[in-house]
Parts: sequence; structure tokens; C-alpha cells
Amino acid sequence: MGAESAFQVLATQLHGADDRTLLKLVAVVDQLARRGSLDQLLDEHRARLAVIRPPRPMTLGRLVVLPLEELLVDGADWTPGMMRVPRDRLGRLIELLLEAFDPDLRRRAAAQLAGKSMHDSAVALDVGREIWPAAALAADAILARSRQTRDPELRELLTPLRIMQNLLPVAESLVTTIWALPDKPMLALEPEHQARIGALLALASARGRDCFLLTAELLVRRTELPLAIIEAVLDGELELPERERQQAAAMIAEACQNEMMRLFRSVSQLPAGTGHAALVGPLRTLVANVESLQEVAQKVKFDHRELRRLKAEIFTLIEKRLEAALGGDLLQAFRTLDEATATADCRTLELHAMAAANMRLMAKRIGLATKIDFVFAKALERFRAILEEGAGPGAGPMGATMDRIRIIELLFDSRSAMQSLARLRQVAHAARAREPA
Amino acid sequence: MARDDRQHSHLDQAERSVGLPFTTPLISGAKARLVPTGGVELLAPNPSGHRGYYVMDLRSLRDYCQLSVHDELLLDKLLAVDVVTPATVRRAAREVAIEGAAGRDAAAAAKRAAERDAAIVNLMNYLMLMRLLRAVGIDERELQRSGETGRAVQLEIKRRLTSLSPRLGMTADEVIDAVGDIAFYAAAIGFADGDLETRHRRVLERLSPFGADIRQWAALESDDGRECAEQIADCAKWTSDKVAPLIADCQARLEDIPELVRAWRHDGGVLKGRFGLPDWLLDGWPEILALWDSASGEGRAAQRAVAAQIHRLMPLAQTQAEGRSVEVMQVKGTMVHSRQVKLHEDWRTGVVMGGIRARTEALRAGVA
Repeated sequence: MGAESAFQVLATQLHGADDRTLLKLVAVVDQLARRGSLDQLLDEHRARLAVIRPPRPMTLGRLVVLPLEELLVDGADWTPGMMRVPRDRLGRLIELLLEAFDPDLRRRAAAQLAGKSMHDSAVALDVGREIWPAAALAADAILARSRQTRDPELRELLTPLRIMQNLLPVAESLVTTIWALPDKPMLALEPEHQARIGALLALASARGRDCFLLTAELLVRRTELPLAIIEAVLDGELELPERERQQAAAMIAEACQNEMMRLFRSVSQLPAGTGHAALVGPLRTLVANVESLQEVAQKVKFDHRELRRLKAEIFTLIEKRLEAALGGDLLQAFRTLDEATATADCRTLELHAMAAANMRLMAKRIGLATKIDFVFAKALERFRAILEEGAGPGAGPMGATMDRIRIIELLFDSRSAMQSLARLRQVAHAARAREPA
Repeated sequence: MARDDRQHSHLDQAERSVGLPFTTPLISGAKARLVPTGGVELLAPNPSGHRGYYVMDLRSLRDYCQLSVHDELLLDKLLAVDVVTPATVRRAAREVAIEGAAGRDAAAAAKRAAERDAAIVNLMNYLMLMRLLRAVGIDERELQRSGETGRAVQLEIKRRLTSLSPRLGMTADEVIDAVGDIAFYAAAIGFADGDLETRHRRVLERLSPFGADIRQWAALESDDGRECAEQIADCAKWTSDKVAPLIADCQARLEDIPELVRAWRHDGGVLKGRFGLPDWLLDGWPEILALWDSASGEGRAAQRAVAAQIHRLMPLAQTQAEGRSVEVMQVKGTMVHSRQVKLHEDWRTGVVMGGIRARTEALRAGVA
């Protein structure tokens, strides 16, 4: 079998694979020394892999990149000069760095990592302490000799190399801080976390402006709380004069706003049929950032009008998507739900309902709550009508009826669901009472 | 007070608590506590996320927060049971899950678990009767060879037990009833030399590795996180140390079935307490172990959140016996948040709680 047809076979297998098979195929790909276009294949499945989270073997390459994970972007979203690291060039980047390593260090580190997975945090930290500074030096050396390079492939790698040159010297602190932070969404940071962020920014500021700005940007990505980072920049114990702090804060706010606009464009271009579960993550990031930037608006200079416009557009987008779902695909799936519906389809419907409820809460945080509540109130009537139609006289709260009650609960709230259940029971009771003895 | 005495005092009936498998995030990790006067109090974890519990009458739970449909149905069942014990709570929770209120996966798992438990109780009952016959010199293999099943075997056992009545001082029906009663409690314990994978044995075997795992994980945590994880590991060790000899003692009693049947008749209350005690002490641990398993593939931040959730789930008796206080605050009418606390939303931050609830439901499916 030729390489191309083997690639096609693998692509087909990945597409049709269940979770267990997908994990097996990923494990095979992980074993390969050179992965090349196989990485592109995996890119298409990253959203699913993020949910099923396979234990990835720890390799030198993965460990080198670990501190920068928040700055990784899909190759298609990356443009040369953008202060991010494109995933599809990671292989070449790591190859370049490892070539510059001392062979002894490389061998020793590889031996320590053998058989470990990326969940072995203690090992990652132990080996990382040795290889992150070495990788930073390697990035330094490559940049020094490649400044005038005409090799287009290498030129594209210069920005990611600069990111590594700046961030890897503070990698240990970066990694431990990122681990110490809670999961998203945070909305507020505990004093302990604020202190850790302050200490990391102080360390980064002592290493220079680029290191400091990149660290701050990475933290914004990790926390989705520009407010917390900007406050730490403005009020923290940093080795920066006041004016530079203001500039840095403004730069973070602007970078954050640009990133939000890029994200909003990509979300708004998603086709109408896109599942709500896929929309929730990016929308949550957008809403959290908008709220956080609004709170910091008085302290930092940036384009406030642009932020207001973006906020209105996000609200409109959510409202339209919800209207379409509640009157269209969600309602249709609710109507066709019965005992014969596959459990997996039922679970998908529940996920969509939960995602719609999440979007409702998000919309209420940034827009007119009554407008969104009205959309849901109208929808509840339609869903209830279907429920009562489907339950029929004498049916108990079992099977598809309970599945439907759960959808109503997830979409609206448990009070609405309990009212619906009580109404069904009343109808059933009345029907029984009418039956001849 | 000597340490052992203090530990024992926490195992008194009046101090026992049972975890209630609610899916509403605000009361996830709540416990029912028996009070000396005979009532049941609900201990809901401090909603601020800090340590301590709010204590209230179980009947006033609906005033405290908006419940999920699952919890509404579960509460109805709990209010209807005569005595709150781990077994009655488990049965109520399974009935609600089988109705589908926690989703199809949980319904299927609860159905399987109920069938498995019923089968194990039946098997234990049968094995105990066989051992009883063997102990008094009747070759039980004859019964097995006869090829008859069900009712016929039961009648044959009864006929043979009738000849034992004078020796046991009980009628055949009384013996059968007593064995059936013991089997209900002993099914989770099993015989010392048996291959039956019983519920308690399954949990007990996992406690020590779990404790070691969580201690290892805690090594990279900050002070608070490490303390929380070490408390969990301490409690796991305490539970394992306490339950292992209890189970060994019950298994020793199961070696002499005629004596156990006689003692059960004369001092049933004490023996029921002894055979039932592991169920109280292991209550909550299957959920804790499943939670930790579910976090094994996650990042540290998610694992930390799970460790905090486990900390809320830790059984009260163990926590207290470890010498740690359990802060309890009485809920007054003015403190009730029912108008503010929404089901899907964390009242402090507005964070959407759907994920937490989905995770709790998935957990219900795993440990039904």
C-alpha cells in the first residue's frame, strides 16, 4: 500500500472511529518519530480528543512545548509574525531545538521520560527544569545564526523561536502557576492565585519587556480574565516604571480585544447547523473577556466603542442562534424523541439543551435579559404542547416522557419541568377516574 | 478520652450520617444525619465553598434551594422511608434513577445494580442454607444433584431443616427467615473463603491504593491543597483500618452458621448493627473512588476541583474520628436563598453549573 492510500485509510478510520478506536489510533500516531501530515489528520479531531482526553506519552518535544500550550493555535489560524505558535510547525520547531541539545542531556532526559504520560506532573517538572533552559539557549543560538536566513520555512519559525527564547527561561514558574490556577471559567481569582500571578509577572518583568508581555498574554489566554492580569500589571510589584505599566496594560487590553474580534469572526462564520455544544466554548471566552475588559475600562486606554459594538454583536448572534434552535432543530429533535431513540442521540440532545441554557445565561450577562427570557417563555409553551401530546392518557413518568422532562429541565429550569410533570400526572389521574370501574 | 473510645463514640447510631446522592450542585455532597430524638437532619455543604455545613430539617430542603427534578423525586422518597440508612437511601436513589430522572445511562446502571444486588442476596441466602445443612451433617450435594430448582429445592431444604428444629431451638420457617435476614446484610460482606466479589470487599481493596495515589498527587500541591488531600488520604486509611477487622469479624461469624442463626434470633439488634456497620463506614467511598478515577485523565486544575469535591463528600464520622471538627451552622428562615439561587447557576459567581450536574449524573451511573 502506498503512503498516500495508507493515509487515506487512516483518515477514513479516524472519521468513523468510536472513542476507544480513536484513542488506539492516536496512540499509534504518538509512537511515530516523524508524524508530518498525520498531525493535520489529528487536528480535525482535536475537539473530540479534548473531551475524551487520551493519556499522551510524555516526549521531549511535548515537554519542551508544555509551558507554551496556551499560545498554540491551529496552523490555519496562524499568520507569520503573529505572537502564537502554530501546531503544524511544532514538529520542525522541536526538531531544530533538539538538534542543538547536548546529546548526553537529550539521551538522559529521553530515558527519564520513557513510559511516562503527560499526566505525570512530578516527572514533567523534574526533567523540565533541565531541558527548558537548554531549549531557551538552543532557541537563542538558532535565532543568532538565522537572522538573515532566506530559507522561507526557517523564516516562518523565527517568531515561534522568539517566543520560546523569551518564555522558556521562566518555564518552571509558568508551568506551576498554570497548574495552580483553577479550571475555566473563573470569573474571579482567589488571593492565592492573584499572588502567584503577581510573582510570575514580576519574574518575567525582571527578564525583560518581551518576556513580560508574552507572559501576560499567556495568562490572559489561560484565565480569560484580562481584568485580573491588567490589575496585577498596574498594581503588582514589578520592575517597571508607571508609564511602562500603563503601556503594557493598554497593549494587553488591545491584544485581548483583537483576539476577541478574531474569535467572534470565526464563530459568526460557523454554519447555521453547527451544534450548540461547539459554540458554547468560544462564546464563553468572548463573554468572559468582554465583561472583564468592561470592568477595567476606566483604568486603561483602548477602543471602548469597539468593545461596545462587539458586545452588541455577540448578543445578537446568541439571540439569533437560540431563536433558530428553539423553533427549529432542538424542537424537532424533542418532537421525535421516543423510547426507540438511541441513547447516544438522547445524550446529544441533552448536550444541545444544556448548551442552549448556557447561551441564555451568557446572553443575559451582556444584553437585555427580558429579551432572551421572552424567547424562552415562548419556546416553553411549544415544548410543553409536544410533551402533553406525546404522554397520552395513562402514561407514567417513564421512558421517553422522562427523557422529555429532562430536556425541559435542562433548557428551561426544574420548576418548569416539575410543573409539566405535575400536569401530566393530573391528566393521567383524571383519565383513570373517567374509566369505567 | 482514649483515642479508641473517641473513635467508637463517633460510630454510635446517633452520630451516623449517610451521603445523599443529590444532583443539584448546591447540595451535592449533602448528608442525612440521624438525631438522638429520632428525626433526620440534612447537612448541606457550606455554599460559599468554605468548610462547614448548614444543618436543617430534611423537610425544609425545598426552601433552601431550587432542586433538580431528580432531587425532587428523591426527596419525596426519602421523606417516605421509615429509617434513613445507607441501604434505604441506596434503594430510594435507585428507584428514582430507574425512572430516568438522572438520564438513561444512570437508569440502566441502577437497574443492573439492583438486579446484581438482588442476585447476590439470593446467592448468599442459598449458600448459607447449604453451609447450615453441611454444618449439621446433611450432605448438601444431594440437593444439588437432584437437579430440582426453585420452589422444589426450597421445600426440600425446609423438610430437612425441620429435623434440625430441636437442635436449633427454632422452627424451619424461623431458620429460613433468620438466614434470609442475615443474607441481606452478609451479601455485601461475603465469606472469608468465597470468591464472591462483594460490594464492601470491592471498596475496601481500593482504599489503600487510593490513599497512596492521592498522597503522591498532593506532593506538588500548595499548602491548602496538600492539607485537603492529606485529610482525604488519612480518612481513607482510617476507614480501611476500621472496616477490615469488622469485616473479618463478620466473616468469622459466618463460618458457624448454626450459631449465628441462634444468636441472630436472641440478639438480632446487636448483630444487625455489627453486620450493618461496614455499610455506614464505607458509605460515600464508592462515589469518592469513582470521582478520583474520573479525574485521572484530567489536568491538575480539574483534579484539584475533584479533590475539593471529594473533601466535601468525606463521611462525617471518619472526619470527626480523625480529630477534626465539623463546623455546623443552623439555618434560620432568614438565611434561605430560594429566591436567589438558580438551578443552573452558581449564586456567588453566576458560573453555569450544568457541567457539575452532568458530572454528578455520570457518577450516579458509575456507582449505582
